[in-house]
Amino acid sequence: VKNTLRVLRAERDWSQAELADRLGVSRQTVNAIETGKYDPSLPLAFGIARLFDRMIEEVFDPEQPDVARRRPA
Amino acid sequence: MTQTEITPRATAPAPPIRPGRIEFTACGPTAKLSQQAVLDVTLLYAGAVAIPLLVKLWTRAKTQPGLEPWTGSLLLTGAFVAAGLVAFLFRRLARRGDYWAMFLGGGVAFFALFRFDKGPLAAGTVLEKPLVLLPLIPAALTIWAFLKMVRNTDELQRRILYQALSVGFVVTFAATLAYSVLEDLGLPHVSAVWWWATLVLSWVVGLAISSRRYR
Repeated sequence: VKNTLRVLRAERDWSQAELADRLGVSRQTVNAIETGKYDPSLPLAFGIARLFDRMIEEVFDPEQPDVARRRPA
Repeated sequence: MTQTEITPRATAPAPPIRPGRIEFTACGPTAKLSQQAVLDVTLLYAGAVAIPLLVKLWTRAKTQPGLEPWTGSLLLTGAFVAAGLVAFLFRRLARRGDYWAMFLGGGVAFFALFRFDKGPLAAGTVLEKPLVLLPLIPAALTIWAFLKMVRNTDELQRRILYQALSVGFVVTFAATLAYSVLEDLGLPHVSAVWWWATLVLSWVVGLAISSRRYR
């Protein structure tokens, strides 16, 4: 899942550690999400969207095509 | 219903800052235990080594003729001071919420107390016998620190921890089985406590490997 976390963080001039503190997670987790090495859970993804006052789709963008469309009816 | 209506757009203020998260990367190659933590763990080890040493000297002094009567009291007082130091350091680490350092400190204190000769104490008076159980105190503190550490982890750290424990379990399982076969071939019998050490060591290696994957 691609995300715009690094851009959003830069807009607010927050460090990774500062963002991690605001989200209640470790700096390691923020870094792993930013670099795309870790996809956050739904509660954390919603928490990130809420913190930046964005919709969740504005922060996270699935690279794969919509799975639901490929499912048989 | 439009997309905007079904997607929650939060307007709530940012959640408060919650400090005190434990960086599990501290267990990896970029180990960054604070200087205070290193000092505390070192002092803890020194205190834990001093306790059995002083108790051993005290038990010897009791049976040795010609020694000054105050020698035994001095050695026993020293053992109590060392025990007080260890207790103080554990309390300081717990108050600081430095559970990783407390886990390490508990481990080294356990080994320091476990390795000493318990024979004279086990055969001693009613007051001396319970001292044999002394290693159980740091063991309990280690377990407590570990549980606190796990509870304080976030979702990624919990994943890393789970992967690392899997590595620890598999390595220890394989090592136990392999050595049991080697024992049949004539290798010396090894105390079960070393399997515990193998588990911790392979767990730490697993932490380093898993942490690296998400860096």
